[in-house]
Amino acid sequence: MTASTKPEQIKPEKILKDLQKLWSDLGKEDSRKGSAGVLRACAMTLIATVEGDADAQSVGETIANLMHQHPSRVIVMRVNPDETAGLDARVFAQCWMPFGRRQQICCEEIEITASQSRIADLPKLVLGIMAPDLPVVLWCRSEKLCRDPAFQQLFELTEKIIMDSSGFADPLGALNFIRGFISGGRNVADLAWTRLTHVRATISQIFENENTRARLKTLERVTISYAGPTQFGLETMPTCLYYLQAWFRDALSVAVDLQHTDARPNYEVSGIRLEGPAFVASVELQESMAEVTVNQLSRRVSFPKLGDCDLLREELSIVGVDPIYRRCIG
Amino acid sequence: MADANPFNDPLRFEKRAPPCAVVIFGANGDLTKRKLLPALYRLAYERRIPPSFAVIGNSRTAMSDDQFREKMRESVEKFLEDSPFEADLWESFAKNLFYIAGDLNDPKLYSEISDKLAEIEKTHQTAGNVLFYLSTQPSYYGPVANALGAADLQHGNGWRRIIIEKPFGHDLTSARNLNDEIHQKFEENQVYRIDHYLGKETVQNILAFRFGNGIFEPLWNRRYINHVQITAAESIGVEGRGAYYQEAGALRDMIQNHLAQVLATIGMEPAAVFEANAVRDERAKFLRSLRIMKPDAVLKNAVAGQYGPASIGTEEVVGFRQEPGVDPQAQTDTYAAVTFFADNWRWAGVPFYIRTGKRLPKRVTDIAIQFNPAPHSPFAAASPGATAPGRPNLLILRIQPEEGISLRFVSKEPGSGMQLRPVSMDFNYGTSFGARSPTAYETLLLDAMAGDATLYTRQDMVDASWTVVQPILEVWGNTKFDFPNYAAGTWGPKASDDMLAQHGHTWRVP
Repeated sequence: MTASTKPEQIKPEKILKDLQKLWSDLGKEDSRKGSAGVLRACAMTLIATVEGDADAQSVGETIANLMHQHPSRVIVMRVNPDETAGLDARVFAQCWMPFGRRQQICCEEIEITASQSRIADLPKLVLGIMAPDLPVVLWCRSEKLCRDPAFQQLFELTEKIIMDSSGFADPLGALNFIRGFISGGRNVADLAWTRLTHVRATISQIFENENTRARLKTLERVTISYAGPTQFGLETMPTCLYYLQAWFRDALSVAVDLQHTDARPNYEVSGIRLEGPAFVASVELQESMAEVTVNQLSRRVSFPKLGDCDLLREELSIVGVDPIYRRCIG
Repeated sequence: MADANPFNDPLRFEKRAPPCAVVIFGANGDLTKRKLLPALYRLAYERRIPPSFAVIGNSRTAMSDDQFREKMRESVEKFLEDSPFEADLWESFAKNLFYIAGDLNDPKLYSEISDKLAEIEKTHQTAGNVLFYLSTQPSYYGPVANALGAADLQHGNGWRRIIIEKPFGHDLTSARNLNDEIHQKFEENQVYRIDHYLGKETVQNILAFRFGNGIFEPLWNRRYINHVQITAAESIGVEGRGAYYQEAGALRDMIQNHLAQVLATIGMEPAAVFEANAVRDERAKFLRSLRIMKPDAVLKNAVAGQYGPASIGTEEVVGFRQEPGVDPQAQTDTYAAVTFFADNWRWAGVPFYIRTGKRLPKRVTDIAIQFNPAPHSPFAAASPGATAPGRPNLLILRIQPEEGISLRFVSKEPGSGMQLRPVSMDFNYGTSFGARSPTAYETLLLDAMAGDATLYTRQDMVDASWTVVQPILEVWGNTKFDFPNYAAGTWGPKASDDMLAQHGHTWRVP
């Protein structure tokens, strides 16, 4: 269900009024159908910035899935390349019927589109429509919008800013950009770091064994294998590899080498090997499985490919600062 | 002792099991097939079990490792809840499953297990850690613990723990005897008595609700709470377990263990830290504060019931005495309701009503906290029914099927007058946390492997809950009941309503 707001009326009060009407209409429609009613669920304000139609569509799907676990008032801010578009807003509900239940659960979504010249209006508009007394999380998908000075006041109000440095054109620049936020007191998460959780947990699990852990001191070398278009130079090192290397260095005082293995469109970790005189452990990443080998004992573990929705789910479950990430980004 | 794991990230990594072997006695039984193996597979699927892991199954049936694996594969595929079955992952997981056939009374079995564990410790790098799971007939709990001790399996290179299923004894004396028998070979900190109710997410959430919020705990006492009702109703009958149930009954099967633990979760004082013994100390303290009834008090505060035949909808349902394997004169309680009082400062005078039964109108488990009414209602003239005793503020903690929390309060009806009516504010667990909840057995198995006994019952808790139930068992054991006294599909015998009526209360309809 959607309600559209006329361009000349784009102001917070009008959007909130449209939201109110949306809920009232949903309730009426539901009672006409004789169902058990609509449950309005909201645990935070989640703001997403997107660029282009394709991006908007993929964000829409991600958000629809995410709402089941993190019901929110979602505000999508989209930049429209059409300069005549000006500023527009519409509100709609994301509803689903949980299996075996009679009551629909609905979250509200507000989509605001702005042409380039109206980008500066977006933050002010958003300030008036955040859900009161609930955490505000900003999922900053657009590098351009994240860097826009007009967005600074929005950053001030968010508990957490989620970025994805793997989408930035310049990886080193992305890390410096994030460091700038952190030194300014902001709580920033990077999905490039979140993508490493499974592989890090798998490595950590190897050392849950006290006998194995006792060998850590004898470890001499860690090799991270990666796939990607080419071997990269120091300035173009993908952030996921930077993070993983930093994580190993944070935990151990050993050499951490990087090794290009095969050509793939995107950079990704394909394996990790830890070696010492009397100890070898490796994790080989395959399609949706990983082969974990510790001193010749091998086992396959499930290693599902994670989408934005999975990564955001993890980040939205973490309240507060991630100290290990802070140490790794330096 | 090695240093802490430098790779651990407690903020992001979920709790994981350390390397270990799990030995399941009764591996051909229903519990292993329906709950234990699906739970272990699911833990492996979620990467919570390390590569250094193995399961040794035992039962009397002769089977090869491969036959056992095949059997377990069928069970896991069939009983896995809310999870995909991945053949590749199963193949890898199944390589760690082994089977030893043998009689639990035969010492040779334990030496075979000992040899296998030694072999697995080397080949699977399990670091000598072993979890023994007794999923056998209760009469074997003591003998198996003894036999494990005789084979020196209670000690090893790593930790050794033993999980014991309910029922832990069938009365106070047998529970104490069983404790003594187990303690001859195992220390109390090695013993994990499972109560799967404590592993339920929503039961754990009661602790979060009470002690993680600042607004409820100040009201959580005799000044504001009028009484508490705990209902655990099942719509089904004994479903082929007639012979077992006939010996147990509702009081033993549900109230002594599951519901006593739920009651303790509601009534306990906050622990200083969320650590196993600190939490269990508080639960035990509350259970010890429950009033022990004299025989005449039992007659007033405990009601036994047994369902008779009835038609429910289009279904003709037989009475308990007509169930297969049940004595036609059985005196078994298929329904039990008890009023407990906790003699302590927080709860003095507050009745805790507990009821459980089979063939009740629906399957539901919930806890209703009924608050005292407002001392004076200025709206009484305009809306006489709104704040009358029949419409108190109610806090309902729903355990199953729709897990969540509801708060009932009165609100003004829209309009010019001052008409009030009760409304409900709902928190639905599934709505707010759409993620799959682990099953109770996943939670509890993982906890036992990780050495976290918070959700397991301790000897003194078991002792305390048997102590309060024992006088009721004794009175009921000496009573000839005129059963059946409630029709299948109803909310139990009238005497149960009378039990509450003597305090001016009525059962709510969940």
